[in-house]
Amino acid sequence: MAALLVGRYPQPGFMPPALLGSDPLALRVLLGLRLPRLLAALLVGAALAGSGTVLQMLFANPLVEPGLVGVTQGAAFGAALAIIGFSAQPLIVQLCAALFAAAGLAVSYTVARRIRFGGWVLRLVLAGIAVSAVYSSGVGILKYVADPMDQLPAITFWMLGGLWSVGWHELLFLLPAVLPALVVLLAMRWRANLLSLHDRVAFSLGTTPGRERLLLIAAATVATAAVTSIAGIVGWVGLLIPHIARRLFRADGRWSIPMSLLIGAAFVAFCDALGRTLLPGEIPLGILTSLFGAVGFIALLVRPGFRIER
Amino acid sequence: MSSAIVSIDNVRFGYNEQDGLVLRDLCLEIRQGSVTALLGPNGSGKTTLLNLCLGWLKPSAGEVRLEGRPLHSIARKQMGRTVSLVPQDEHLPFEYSVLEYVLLGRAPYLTTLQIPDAGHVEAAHRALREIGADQWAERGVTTLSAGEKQLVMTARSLAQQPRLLLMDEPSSHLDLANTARLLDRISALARSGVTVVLTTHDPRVASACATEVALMREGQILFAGPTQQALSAALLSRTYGIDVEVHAVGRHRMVTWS
Repeated sequence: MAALLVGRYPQPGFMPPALLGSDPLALRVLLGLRLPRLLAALLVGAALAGSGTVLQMLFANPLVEPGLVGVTQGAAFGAALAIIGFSAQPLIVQLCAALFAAAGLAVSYTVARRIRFGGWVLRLVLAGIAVSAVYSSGVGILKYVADPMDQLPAITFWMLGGLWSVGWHELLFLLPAVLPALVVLLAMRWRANLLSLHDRVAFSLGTTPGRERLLLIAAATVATAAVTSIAGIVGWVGLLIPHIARRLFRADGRWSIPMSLLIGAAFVAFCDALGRTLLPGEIPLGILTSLFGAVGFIALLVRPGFRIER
Repeated sequence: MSSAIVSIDNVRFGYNEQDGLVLRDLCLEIRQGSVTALLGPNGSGKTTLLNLCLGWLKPSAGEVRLEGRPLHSIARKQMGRTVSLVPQDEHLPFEYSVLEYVLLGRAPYLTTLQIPDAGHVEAAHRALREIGADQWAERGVTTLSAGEKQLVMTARSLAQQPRLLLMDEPSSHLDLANTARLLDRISALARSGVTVVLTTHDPRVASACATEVALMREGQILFAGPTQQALSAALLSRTYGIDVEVHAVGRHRMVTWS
């Protein structure tokens, strides 16, 4: 609610609620601009943090985040390609980003299946790093050939992450992909605990770990790809928020997954409100989440009792 | 004589063509209610055989049957309610509580989207009590010592209420006191009707808790039978490839070599 009233209209800071009755423009700003943007921020935060928590559990590795399996860099490459090839039309940028994000996961998965050494986690991580690096090179080439007056700033701004272009139309594009994915993550919140065990142990508990992991990875990828296609690269949410949720509540997915969704949503909404209020020109969302995320992560690392094994 | 819970008929297994066969035409019957030790040197195929009994690996030839049915014809959930595995060690990356971890043993009794209810929590407490570890229920799993962790892993398996418990080198990380405690628990489990198959390379472990021993070397069974017969100097010398002597100390067997 507070985020709805925060912004730079009619003046920087809080909009008095009474103004909504007397100023039709204030009401239009609130309902037409701030409300869809706030809802999108909540969805972006919930999707990134929820996906991060689930991926960390599936890979039994607290340092994993959605960027690991080629999703984020895939989205960045797709967006850059659309900006150069299709004159940066928003819908095409989003579709292209989502498409290449999904392709990033598919290629990572295929490469991991063909690696002939190591466990499944190691193979997928190695494949994800390699696929992300290929995409990064592609983004580098696209930036090199981009028109420096027009296309290059568009690519750079998209990669900094932000919700300035989100209205009701974009939100409706986001909902059908993100909501079902979040429902899957929430519905399998206890099951995710089982899948954080070694494959052989999860198998001995009567599960089919490969199939169930794939379902959860697909849900996390769809959610991440969809929000990245709208918001650009919003870093650190998927890494930091799961740690905070586990620390404040419990490591068990019954608590850590729903709490990650809530904390992630609140965190991104807060960063977005700050980003569009502090300065006359908007501060890109990705810069703020990375700043707070990285500082928060350093604070977490140096706390007594915090440890990451293996 | 009780009937076989697991029958292994002429099983062959290799991880890949280059490395050749790990198990060769292996036959073994595990009797219901027994504690069977798969005893042999490192690399003799003990853990591979355990993984075949779990269904985690499929034989290249031959067949593994559980209670008379081919293992791979049994549904996953049904397998989870019948057979359980206590691994040698388990990497636990997150600070689950002991109770939350043991509760995972209830998975075969839940559907994919189901959350455990109070009945399942009580079953997890019961499994912890059975192993004498209920006082640790709220402790974090990453704070457990190796011995405590081994007992908690066993409790997680017991929460599955299995008829067959597979234990991979259960005492390999344990000191003397914890080994004694764990082996006593294993004997008690067998008395309560659970069949136990454990792998070990230490004849002392087999002599302390096993009713039957299968001696393994290079992917084959050299001898399978009652513990007293298996732990002879001649058979152990063949199994380990060195001359050993066996000394009876009470009900235990001490093995020495020159």
